[in-house]
Amino acid sequence: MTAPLLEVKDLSVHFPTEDGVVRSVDGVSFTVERGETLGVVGESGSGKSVTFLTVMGLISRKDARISGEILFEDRNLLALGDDEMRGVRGEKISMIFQDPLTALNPLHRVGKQITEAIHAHHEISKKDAWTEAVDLLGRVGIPRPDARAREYPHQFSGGMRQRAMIAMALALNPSILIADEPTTALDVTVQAQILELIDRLKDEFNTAVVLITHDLGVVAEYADNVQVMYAGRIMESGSLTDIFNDSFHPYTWGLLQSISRLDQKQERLLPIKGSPPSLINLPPGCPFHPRCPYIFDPCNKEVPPLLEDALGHLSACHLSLADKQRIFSTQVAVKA
Amino acid sequence: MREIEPLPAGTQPLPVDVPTTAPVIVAEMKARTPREIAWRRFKRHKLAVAGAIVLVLIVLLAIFAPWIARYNYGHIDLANSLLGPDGKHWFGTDNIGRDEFARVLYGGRISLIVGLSVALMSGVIGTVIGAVAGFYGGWIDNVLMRITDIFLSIPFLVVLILAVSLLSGSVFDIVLVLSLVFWMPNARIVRGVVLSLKEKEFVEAARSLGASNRRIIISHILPNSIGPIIVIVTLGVAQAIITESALSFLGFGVQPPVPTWGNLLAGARQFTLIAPWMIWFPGLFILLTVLSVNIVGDGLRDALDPHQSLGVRT
Amino acid sequence: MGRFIIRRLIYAIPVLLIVSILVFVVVHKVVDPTASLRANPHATAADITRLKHALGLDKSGYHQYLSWLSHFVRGDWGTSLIAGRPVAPDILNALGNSIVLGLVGVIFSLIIGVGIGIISALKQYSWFDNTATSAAFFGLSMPNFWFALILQLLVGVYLARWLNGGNALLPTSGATDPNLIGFHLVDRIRHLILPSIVLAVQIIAVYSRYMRTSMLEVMHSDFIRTARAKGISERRVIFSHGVRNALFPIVTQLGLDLGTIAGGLIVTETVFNWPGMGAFFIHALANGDYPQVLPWVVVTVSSVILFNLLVDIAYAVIDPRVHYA
Repeated sequence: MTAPLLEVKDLSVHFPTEDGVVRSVDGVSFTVERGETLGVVGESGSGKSVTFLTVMGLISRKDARISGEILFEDRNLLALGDDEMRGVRGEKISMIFQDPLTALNPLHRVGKQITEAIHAHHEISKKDAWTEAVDLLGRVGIPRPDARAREYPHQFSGGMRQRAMIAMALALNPSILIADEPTTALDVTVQAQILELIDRLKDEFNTAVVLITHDLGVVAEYADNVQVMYAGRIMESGSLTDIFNDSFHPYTWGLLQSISRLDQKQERLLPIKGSPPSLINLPPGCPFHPRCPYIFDPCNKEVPPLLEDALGHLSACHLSLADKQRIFSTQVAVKA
Repeated sequence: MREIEPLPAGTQPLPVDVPTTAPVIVAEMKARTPREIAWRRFKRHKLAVAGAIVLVLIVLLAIFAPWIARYNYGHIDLANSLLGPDGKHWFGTDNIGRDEFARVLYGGRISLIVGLSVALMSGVIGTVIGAVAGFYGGWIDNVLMRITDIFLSIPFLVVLILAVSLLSGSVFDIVLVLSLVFWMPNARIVRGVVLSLKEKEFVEAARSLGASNRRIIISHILPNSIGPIIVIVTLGVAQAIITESALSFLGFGVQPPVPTWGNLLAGARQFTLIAPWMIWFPGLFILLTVLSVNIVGDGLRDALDPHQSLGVRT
Repeated sequence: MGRFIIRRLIYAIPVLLIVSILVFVVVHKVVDPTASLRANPHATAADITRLKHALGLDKSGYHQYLSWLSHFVRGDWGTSLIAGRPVAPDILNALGNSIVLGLVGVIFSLIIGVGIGIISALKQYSWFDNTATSAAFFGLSMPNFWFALILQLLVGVYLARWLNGGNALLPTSGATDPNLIGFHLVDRIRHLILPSIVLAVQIIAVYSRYMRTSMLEVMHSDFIRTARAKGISERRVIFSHGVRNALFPIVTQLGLDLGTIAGGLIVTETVFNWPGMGAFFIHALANGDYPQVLPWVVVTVSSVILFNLLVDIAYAVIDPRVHYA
């Protein structure tokens, strides 16, 4: 088996604040393999964004206590100095964000924002950098890229702005592209276009993609593997089919039951009762237990470890494998 | 010590009570080490409290002036003129032997009264007009903007001086004139606040439920504007005191023999070389008063209006 | 854009007219040019009437205003009652002096203030920030006329005594040494120092706070995070993205503040006897010299309007999002 591109080991990111310590990420371990699209699903506060912001080195040690290891290209990114990390950011691992309007500098021309990224990592003439930028804009599907490159972000539509962001992120051919809610701020019709674009470019640029989202629908179409996060921990991870057709965690079941699906009979959509826990005062034991319909004795005492229930399919739940399979097939997955 | 202006938007902790299908808001978090947090909390309270204490002291001195000061502020004693601070005259005497301590205390009365009255009057007028203009918009708003544009294009000291020239130099006239000028920036700020509140979703929600304008103003707009308004009025006191002092210093404010800190300084100018204490004390009191009002006002702003942008520009 | 400018200039005319009318009314109520003549025990009623006629005071207010206006727009700004000289050159002279003081004071303190604001924002809550904040509080609360007096006292009396055997190190009044003939740069600069300091304290206090707030807001924006995600140097992030964007609101405020300089820094000029627009106004009013007051007001208001317009134009030029119909 080839070595994973990125390996995160027991990562914790805690923010001391006036009201207490916010445990945004609490002991998270996973890998990103070459050429895969990893879908990271979770609601607001699940720690999915903070995890990858930490991978990018965008969480300052002045603000947070970070522990664990992030292994990339035989180095622990957390041990790197600022300059070395800056060499990785943008060139080896890059990230795009949710709202392209606010994520782009309103006062800089779009082309310049791309060449800036190029100049930061390569010695290259201004002219060549500009040519590359224009070329990139073309490859992400922006018509008349030479004229567009000279324009400002507010002159682009939402979808075009996100394409420009993608161009910027792929400019240096990174090994991993992290897309944090890339479509949430866009119109529904545009969402599909952008996701398709990322999928296509993934092959063209030979990049692994991490797709962070709260929307299972997004994941269903494009992810190879899925990781479900809640309250700063991974609840379940596995391949796409594992998660959708054979899931082993009550939280995932809850998510599956709250979206509409064409391949299953659903009487009603069932939201998950309750609300996410405070990251300062996490409940004892399993963080999901206050909202879980299947709790039993150990749930509010011991934190369930993330264990492999089947090949490559992990879940963090005290329920026995047999129980999980039974519950899933009888209550969650009712075939239409 | 904290910032004078409120924190920029976006520095709140992650929202925790969010339904599962809500879009993600990745917000910045203000994180400090526990030691820093405790230190800041302590300092914050300590400073505002210190400011309040100083202010109260000054106000008490002014109120109880007749009992504290040994001499009357107008009592002339030529034999003892231009004396430096000593046991009998804590702040020295002026050129005709008047006790400076008494004069500063009595002067404080006037300056404080003027400051408070102007802030309140201009606060009320400005709030009402600004709220009406901001809420109803239309021609009322236009008229307001035009009028304030005209007056705000003349340096306001000039406006004040010209206006004061039309009247006598009594305290009442000064308060009137200052209020008639100060309401304008207040109105513009309140208008801005109301405008931004009007856009907020909870107002739209109330409206869609059928609430009348009056109800919206009373139940939704006003409660949310009280915070900024209190801050404006408080900081307005500081502004008013400084402005009245400046006006009196230039000779266009309250006229002698009624003492204010400003005209005490005006009278002291000629004697700068031989009686500098005539300059130190009145000015020091202005500085201390304004400083404490500003500190208290800032503390209030932090408590009442921490995340709204109270932009000084309109 | 051109139409925008023209519209604004046209709009300025009624404003100026209204202001001049208001001031005309006030000044004529307040000032009595026949006062000194009346005080003269030898003056007869006939003398007073003659003076009134000479000054055109026996005509209706409406008439007087129009007469003034028609002279004004033709360049005849009247003659000073006290000095007997034409008003226009004196006002322009005063304007020049105010501009010199204003520009010198503003330029230095702006650079310092903005710099302090940037550092305060970048090192929020550090000792630097706390000190700067306290200093700003002080600067904002300090009555400028008192500070000016204290400076004069300090430099003119105490420091002179301690350091220089009685002679002041820096001049504490006026713009030039009356004993010198002609233009002496060093002398002028020495006279500028103290008034500039008074001005500087206020400007640094205000602009360091503005810049700090603006910078904090910008540095928490999404595009800063994107800039960092690209892997560019932190220095570039701070300056090319942070400072550049944070300077925007500062520029607007600066334009507005500059406009008021033409109104004279009344207090500072009074204390330091600086012959600028502020001192001009005070003296004119105190002397009852009303022919000087009206043109003064027109010049002042015009400069405020002009600067507002310049600010808006500058905004349109530097902010690509702004577009005027």
